[in-house]
Amino acid sequence: MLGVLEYTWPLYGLPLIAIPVLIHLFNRLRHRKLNWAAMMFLRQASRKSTRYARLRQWLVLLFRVLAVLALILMLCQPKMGGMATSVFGSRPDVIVLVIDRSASMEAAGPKALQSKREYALQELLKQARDKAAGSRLMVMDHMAERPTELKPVDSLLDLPRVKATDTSADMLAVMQRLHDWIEETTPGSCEVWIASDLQASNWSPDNEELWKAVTDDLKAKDNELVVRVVTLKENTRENYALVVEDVAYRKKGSQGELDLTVRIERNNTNEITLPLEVRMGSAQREEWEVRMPSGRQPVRHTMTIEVDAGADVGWGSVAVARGGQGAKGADGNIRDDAGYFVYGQTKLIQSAIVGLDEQARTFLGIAAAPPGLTNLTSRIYKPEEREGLELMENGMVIWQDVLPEGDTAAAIEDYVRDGGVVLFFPPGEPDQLELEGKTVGWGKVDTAAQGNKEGFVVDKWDIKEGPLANTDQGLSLPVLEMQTWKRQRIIGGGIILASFSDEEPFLIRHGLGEGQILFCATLPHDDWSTLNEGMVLLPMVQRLLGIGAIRYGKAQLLSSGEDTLGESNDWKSVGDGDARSFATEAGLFRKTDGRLVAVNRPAKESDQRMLAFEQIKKQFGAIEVFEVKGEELVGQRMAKLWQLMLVFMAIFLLVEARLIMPRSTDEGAEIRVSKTPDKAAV
Amino acid sequence: MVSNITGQHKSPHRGSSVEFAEYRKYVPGDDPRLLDWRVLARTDRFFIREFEADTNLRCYMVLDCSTSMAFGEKGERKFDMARKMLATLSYLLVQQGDAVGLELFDDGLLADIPPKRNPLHIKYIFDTLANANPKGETGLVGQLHDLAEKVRQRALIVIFSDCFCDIDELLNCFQHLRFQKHDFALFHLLDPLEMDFDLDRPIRFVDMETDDVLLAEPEVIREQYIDAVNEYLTKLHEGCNKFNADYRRVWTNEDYEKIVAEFIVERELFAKD
Repeated sequence: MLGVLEYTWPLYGLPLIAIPVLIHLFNRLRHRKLNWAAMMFLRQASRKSTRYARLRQWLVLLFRVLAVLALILMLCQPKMGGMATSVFGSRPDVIVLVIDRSASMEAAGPKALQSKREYALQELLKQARDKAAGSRLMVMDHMAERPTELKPVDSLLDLPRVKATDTSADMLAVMQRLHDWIEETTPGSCEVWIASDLQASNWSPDNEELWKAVTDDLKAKDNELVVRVVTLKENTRENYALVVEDVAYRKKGSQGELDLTVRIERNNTNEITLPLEVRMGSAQREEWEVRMPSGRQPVRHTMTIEVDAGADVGWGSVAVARGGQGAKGADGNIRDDAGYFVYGQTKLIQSAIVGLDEQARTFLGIAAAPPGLTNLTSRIYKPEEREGLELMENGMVIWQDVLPEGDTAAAIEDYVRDGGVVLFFPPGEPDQLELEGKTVGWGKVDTAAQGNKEGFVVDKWDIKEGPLANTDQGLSLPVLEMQTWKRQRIIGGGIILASFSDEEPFLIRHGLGEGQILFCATLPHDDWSTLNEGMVLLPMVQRLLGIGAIRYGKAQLLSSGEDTLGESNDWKSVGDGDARSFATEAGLFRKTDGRLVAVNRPAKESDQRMLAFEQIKKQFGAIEVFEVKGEELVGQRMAKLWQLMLVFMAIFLLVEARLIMPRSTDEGAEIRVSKTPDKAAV
Repeated sequence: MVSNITGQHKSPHRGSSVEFAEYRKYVPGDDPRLLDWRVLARTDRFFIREFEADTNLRCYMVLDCSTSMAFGEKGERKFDMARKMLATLSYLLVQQGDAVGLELFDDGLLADIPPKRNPLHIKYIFDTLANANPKGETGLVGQLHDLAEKVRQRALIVIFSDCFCDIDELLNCFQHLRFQKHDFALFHLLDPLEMDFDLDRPIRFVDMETDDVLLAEPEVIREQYIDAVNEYLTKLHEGCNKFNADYRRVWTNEDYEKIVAEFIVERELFAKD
């Protein structure tokens, strides 16, 4: 494997290797000058020594240049894999095994009869036995707050915290918790081995800034951190994932009807008819079929099921029938084939009426909670009592007052986004509020001319859907018969659900999140209109309340691992005899106070999009990431070679010093010229 | 010494004199008047008498004025040292009635003063020496050959030089001088630095005579340099021995008076032997 440089900025110093050469040239220019008489001896000596002297000069220069080069390379902190790893590499102090045990990891893995999670655990165990000697092993699943020590290594497969769950993983949060643990415990050099199917919904690829912040922090804590990802994205079998989207229960005489809406995701494009099995309680069982057209898009299907109305509360499950047509034997992930639901739990549906005018308040309160309907209740607030309004408890809010502002406006916006319905009635004064960048609210008040008994007439409205739609029997509401003498103009656009004969809107709707905001142009007041007679107001308010009350139904459908309703010990599983874990598994659970909830796999676990390894590498930024394709785990950790560069530099400098060292006079440079020779004989 | 005037130096040549020197076998051609009849009567062999002949000295002082003689790092300049010794010797010789001449040269003849014993002549020599400056390249070999040819009568030729020239050519000059029956002495002037090459940094050596530049690291070439010097000195020494030259190695950091005194004493002792 090719080497890499940890830092590249020292390479800007490469021109420094010219310094020894420049010094050498400079020295040649500034050699001491000496007038010399005995040149004949000098020339003779130079001729004899030139060859060696030049070679020595070149060698000295070469080793000086090499020493500077070694210094620059040392600062670059080069790293190399391959054989260098076995010679210079070092083991990490700690290896943290991060196990993604989200619902999608129960899909079939590379080996038969094994889920991805089981396969990954066995591979991690094998590698930990073979290659992790000398390192401390820790294990952390995606739900854990911190890693815990794994001792002995062979206990990995038996740990409860590596078992299957129906939860969803948030790998970004896992990395953050890992960072916090490293910061708190300073365990030394770390490697993180991650077993994950790289599901996009778990890895949050859109949160680039957060990923950068977390990985930069990790890198700062441990500059040598290495991440290895055991990728397990192969999903070899057809898989159908079922999600319960909505359940609506109503009583019809002695029978009850349940509208059960499911969404089916898939990893193939086959056109098939998928069999479903619906169980109601412990006794009732029905078979349904869902046609899946060709294509990859999910299919939404609503089943209307008759249930015994004798019981107020019920529970059930719906699952892809195994072995049926299209299933081709076992599904790719049997854990995502089933969904759970509860219905019929009586809950008082509350409305809040904030009313400026007493008469209007009264009529609106009656419309929201007509006498005789015991599951409906309303609470009326005078304007000065608004501070005590708890929005989230209400299925609907009726507001006949100046428009809210500040914190109140923000709270209302949150409430609507959560699925709430707010119905505004005229305050009598012009007023505005900002709604998603638009200005909506009230304009001037119109009064019908004296003598015009009919006043303003609503002659257009949506009869197919909305609060003024025809009844189930096809009968229209007596909107045309409603008389209006006073109205306040509605400003800011929106969807016109009903309008006056002069085209001014009577009822306007704005969608916001999962809820809606409506403006009604007149008041149920003697001075304003005949809305207070109830023929239009009552159905309108009740229908809107029905929409808002869906939020109550959703409170009965929870996502595994995300919604917390008290301690897990408070909840016991019901149905199908299995003792399931409320914290990690889907199923039906009853609380100690009798409340019943259905816990399902989070919808995002049905996301079939898997990220490529290169994207994961990009998300980790400066941290080294290696892919392990389920086989070889430890391989390409690069060894740092800066120590080797330091040794080279020392060697080069020593050799250079030896070359420039003057020779000892004992070696033969002794003066052998005698002062006084023998006298010449004559 | 062959001369017309009687000086203080014993001539190496045998001639008619009052002082008996030695007997020698008679060979045909000898003067029969020199036959010793008493030795003949005693031994029946023919021997002749030889006598000591006192004569005066003709001395040529030869000074190398090339630029290399201006070198002097560890002692004074070779040229100055040579001048002092030359002046001293000249003065002493003239004082005792010997004739002294002077030749100055670099690559050409700069001054040619014939030998004279006039005391005023020494002032001329001194003045010439005082005005001399070392410059130019060495022309020692050529000048010595010219001198050998120019001086007909036997003379003492005293050479003051650093002898930085081709050694074979120089020895050839010595042979020439000896052939002309001249007696010659060589004062070989050297600076200790030129010989021991005690330098420790890379240096740009500039030839004092030609201005050529050579970059060298003394530490690197020191051994080879000293080998070259030794080889040269050994050869010069052997050559001087071969041609009976009086070789004197003079270091510029030595006391010149001592050197001159040694020379004079040894020359007088030599003459008595």
